[in-house]
Amino acid sequence: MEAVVVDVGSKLLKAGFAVPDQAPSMIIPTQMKRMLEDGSLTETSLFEEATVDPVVRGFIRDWDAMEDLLHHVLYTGLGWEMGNEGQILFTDPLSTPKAVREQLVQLMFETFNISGFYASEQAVLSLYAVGRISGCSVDIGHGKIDIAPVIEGAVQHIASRRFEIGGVDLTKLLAQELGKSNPLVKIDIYDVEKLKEQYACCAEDDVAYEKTKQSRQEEQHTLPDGQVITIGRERYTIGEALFQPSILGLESHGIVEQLVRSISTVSSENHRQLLENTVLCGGTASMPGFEDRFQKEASLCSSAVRPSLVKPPEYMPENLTMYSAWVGGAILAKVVFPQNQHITKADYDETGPSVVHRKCF
Amino acid sequence: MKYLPLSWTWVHTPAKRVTPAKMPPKLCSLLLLDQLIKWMLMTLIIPKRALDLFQIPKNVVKTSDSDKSKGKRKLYVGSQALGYRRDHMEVLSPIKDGVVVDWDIVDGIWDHAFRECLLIDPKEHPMLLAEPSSNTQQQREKTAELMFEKYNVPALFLAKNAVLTSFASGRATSLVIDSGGGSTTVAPVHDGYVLQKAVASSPIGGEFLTDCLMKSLESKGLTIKPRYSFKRKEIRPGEFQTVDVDFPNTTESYKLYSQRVIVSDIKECVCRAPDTPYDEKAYSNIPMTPYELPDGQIIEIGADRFKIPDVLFNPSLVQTIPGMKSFAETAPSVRGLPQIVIESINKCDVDIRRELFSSILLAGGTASMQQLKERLEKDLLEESPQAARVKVLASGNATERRFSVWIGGSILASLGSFQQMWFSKSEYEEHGASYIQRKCP
Repeated sequence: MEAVVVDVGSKLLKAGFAVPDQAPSMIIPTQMKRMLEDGSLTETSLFEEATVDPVVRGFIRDWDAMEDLLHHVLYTGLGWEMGNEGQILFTDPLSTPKAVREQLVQLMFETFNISGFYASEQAVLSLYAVGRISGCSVDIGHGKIDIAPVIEGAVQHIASRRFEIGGVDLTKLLAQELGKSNPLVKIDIYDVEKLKEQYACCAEDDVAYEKTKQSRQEEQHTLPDGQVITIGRERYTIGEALFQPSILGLESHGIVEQLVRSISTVSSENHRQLLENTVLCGGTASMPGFEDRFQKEASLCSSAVRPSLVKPPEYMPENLTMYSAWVGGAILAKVVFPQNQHITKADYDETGPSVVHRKCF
Repeated sequence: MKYLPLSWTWVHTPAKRVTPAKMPPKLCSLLLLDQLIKWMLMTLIIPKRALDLFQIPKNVVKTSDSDKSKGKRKLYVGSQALGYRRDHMEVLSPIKDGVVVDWDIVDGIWDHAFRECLLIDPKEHPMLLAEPSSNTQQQREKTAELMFEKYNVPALFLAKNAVLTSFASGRATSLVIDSGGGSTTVAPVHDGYVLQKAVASSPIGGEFLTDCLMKSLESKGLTIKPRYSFKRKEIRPGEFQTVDVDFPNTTESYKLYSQRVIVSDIKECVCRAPDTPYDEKAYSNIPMTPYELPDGQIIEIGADRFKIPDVLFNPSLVQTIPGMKSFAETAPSVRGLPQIVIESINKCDVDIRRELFSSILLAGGTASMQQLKERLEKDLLEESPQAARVKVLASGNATERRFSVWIGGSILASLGSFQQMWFSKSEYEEHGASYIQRKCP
């Protein structure tokens, strides 16, 4: 039986059997609804209950909800049978605390009784998906942005950076902006999320962005409950916020600048290799116009070596940026599990949860 | 909210969640803080391997808000925060001449490290701190107080830098030359204890060499533009131009800090220790090495490549660098590195001198300069007594040299026999902070 690869994000959970060059078979929202009576937790909203986010800013926080979610994914979604569990590979975001990793291993071996486990960092996996082992991965997700230089499969923690801004902050910004331009319309946060996915885009450069502020080009959009709103320049504001974080009210440099600074902390012999193999991944990075804007900003970088993006290979599915960590995990699973480099049940029984730090890195 | 199993055979006891408070100290990792002058390293340890290693520059930034009546300042810690230019932002360092002067800043740095970099709760982790070899009793007591009262650590130990470096190389007796950012310290270690009366130190460290290089480059007419002060604009499609951007509210200390970062990188890339003492005439025709500055300008560095590292061996060279005359006047009696080493060994007992000569360890950031080990060995062979066999050891990996104190601490803290030597919280409450002198010699 194939190994299962699970990539848990703040917004979407990607899971499937490890068949590389295919999209994951399950892409479901991570958000769950709580039900008070006895019964299973599902993600579909049948009752008006509070929503639970088991994954906050990339890290797993609510373990009970996580357990139920994984149960649904593995047994119902992927068709595992109880008593005949297989092997599983998880992806970790950057700077995962050790306690979180240990708890995940414990959960998998003791509650789910799996036969083999492996965990790897998302930055490394995204590079594997495009066929590289060294490079810089820029992961712009729902809950966080990770910039991680990787040299020969090892993440350079000294130079890597993590920002606590992501798609969720852009959604809030869009809600705010729409509230200003359409004061009479009340929009639900889920609808704003959908609007963001549909309409957000990036201006070509900051001069073009300034122009959009003046233009009156607007579109009408009908919400599911019948209300009509107009969307004009707010679409560009969202895209611009990644390059000028002052729009979000944060004091930091734009994303390209952060990338260059983080790479300059690594020793200079690797600069060229890192900058020329930059990979963009994450849902927010698939905004139309983002890549072009990124390239443009990169060419404004003063030094001779500039960031340049890697083109994904042709045999990879479309939309690779959305789940490149999953695809990388599928590739890794094909290598790690047959060679017995993973954590087996016997290892776990002998050493306990801390075996994850020794065997998986 | 639990999901009840319908038909399932549990192999282990169900839902055993180990809460962090119950984790025994052996399973949960030990934290090691290393107070090097320039860098502070924090990590959760596994012996001989730094899995998550974070470097936080010791300089911290504060903003002074002129309209705040209380005079409260906001601290920004870490290279990520320091990299962003803010108005009225001053760069401060809590340590002057090896002594901590501002405990608030140190507190801020530790807080940032625990909360943001390592993402742990200090209550759960025993703490091993590395301290300079000539630390005062007062500083140690203050450290213990801060750790126990503010962070509520369960146990603490203070180990000397030199001892930890010695452990990292697997020796109980050696002479440790720790050449870091702020100063260079030479300390003999015998059977795991530092011989206090033989410790010698010199104020010449990495920062000083960076300053020398900066003054030397300025005197040649090269201006180092800090990263925030320029921007590239596209004036025509395909053609670019570097434009200067002016920020009038930037403080001098921040500008100096930004320039230092760039010059420090130049120094690390380009400088090499010369094989023979530096001579103006001999090195005047040396081929120049190019280096690209962040704004795209390419500079050529020739004789300075060798002159600057030679300041370690011959501090009187400083007088030839224009702009550094003030230093030459305040500290005329600073001796070169080989002389300090010989002096330190001569202050030790005659019996151990031979052993010290044959195991001289190099540690610290400045010690990872190329060819330093060979030059030092050569100089020491000339100055040492004939019968002594001089051997200078340094690990080949530059990262290991820089973090050897940390690696030593990692090894020490994971030894089984070390576990009873911790200074625990209950002992602190019973005997007070001064007990640390007895527990951590």
